[in-house]
Amino acid sequence: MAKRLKRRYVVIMAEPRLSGDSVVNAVRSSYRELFGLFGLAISGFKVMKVYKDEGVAIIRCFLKYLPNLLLATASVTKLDGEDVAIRTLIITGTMKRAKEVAETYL
Amino acid sequence: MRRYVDLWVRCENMEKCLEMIKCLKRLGFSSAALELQGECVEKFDDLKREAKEIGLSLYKKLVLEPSSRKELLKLLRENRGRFEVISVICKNLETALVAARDSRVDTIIIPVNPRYRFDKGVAALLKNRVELPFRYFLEDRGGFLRTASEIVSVLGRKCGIIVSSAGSRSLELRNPRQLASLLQVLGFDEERALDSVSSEAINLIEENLVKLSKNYVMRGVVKLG
Repeated sequence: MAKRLKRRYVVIMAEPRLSGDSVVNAVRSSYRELFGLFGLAISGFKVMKVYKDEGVAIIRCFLKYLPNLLLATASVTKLDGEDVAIRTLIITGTMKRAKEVAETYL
Repeated sequence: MRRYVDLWVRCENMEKCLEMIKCLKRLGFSSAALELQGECVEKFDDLKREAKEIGLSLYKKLVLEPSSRKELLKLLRENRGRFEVISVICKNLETALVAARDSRVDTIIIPVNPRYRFDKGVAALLKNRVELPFRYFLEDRGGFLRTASEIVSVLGRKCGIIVSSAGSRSLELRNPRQLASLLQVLGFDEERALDSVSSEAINLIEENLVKLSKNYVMRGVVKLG
C-alpha cells in the first residue's frame, strides 16, 4: 500500500519585518540555489499563507525535506538590499495550529 | 527537554552583546560561549549577571589561530586556565595534527577550503570535537558545504561534531533547529544533529568546569568534600 506523505507547516518571520511576499521569494530562491530546481519540485514546497505587511508566512513541505527548508530559511541574509534573518516561529503538523501561531505575531 | 548551547558567539561591544544575549534566549538557547573582544573582556561579569537574570548561562571562549605548532603550544600554556572553552582554527596540517590530539583544546575548526587534506590519518589521531561555524556557511555556501561534507564523511563517525553560529550580531544568529538542519542535510539523523547543538556542547562545558574547579587534581583525580 502506498504510504501517505507527511507534511509540515513552517511559520517564518523576517527580522526586521519586511513584506511577506519578498520573504517567501527569498526562501524559495535560496532553496533553489541550495538544492536545485528538482529538489524544490520534489520537496512539496508550497506557500500556504502570506501576511503581506507583517513579514510572516506559512510554508508547507514534506517532512522528509524539512531540514532542507530550515537550511534554506537560515541561509537568507539579504533581502531588498537590507540585512535580514529569517526566523522559524514554529514547525507544526496542522494548518490550524500554524495559523494560530502566525496570528500571535501580527 | 533538550537544552541548547551556542558554542561560539563573538562579542565586540557591550550594546551588540546585550542585544545578542536577548536574541539567544528568544531563539531557545540556555547557554552560550562568548568570544570576548574590546570592552567586553572587562565587563564579562556584568554580562554574565544580565544573562543570568533572563535565564542564560554564559561561558568564556578563546579562539586561537596559530600559524605553527610552537605558537599553538605557547598560547595553550598561557590561556588554558582562564577560559571554559578553547577552539583552534587549523590553518595548516601541522597545527591541525597537534590541536586534534591535545587535551587542552576543546574543539578544532577547519576553515573553508583548507590547503591540506584531512583523511584517515588525521581521523585516527583525533580526540577533540570538530566545530562547524554557521557563519562560514553564510559567507561561502559552496565552499563550506564541500568542506563540511568531507568533515562529516571522514571525521563524523570518529568524533563529535558541534555546530555553532559564530555570529557577531543578532542577525547572524540562528535557532537550534536551523543550526542542526545543516548536519541533517549532510546525512546525520535528527537526534544526532540536535545533539550537535545540545548534549555534545553541554558535555564539553561540564567537563571543562570540572577541570577548572579547585577540586580537580589531575585527569581522573578529583578531591571530594
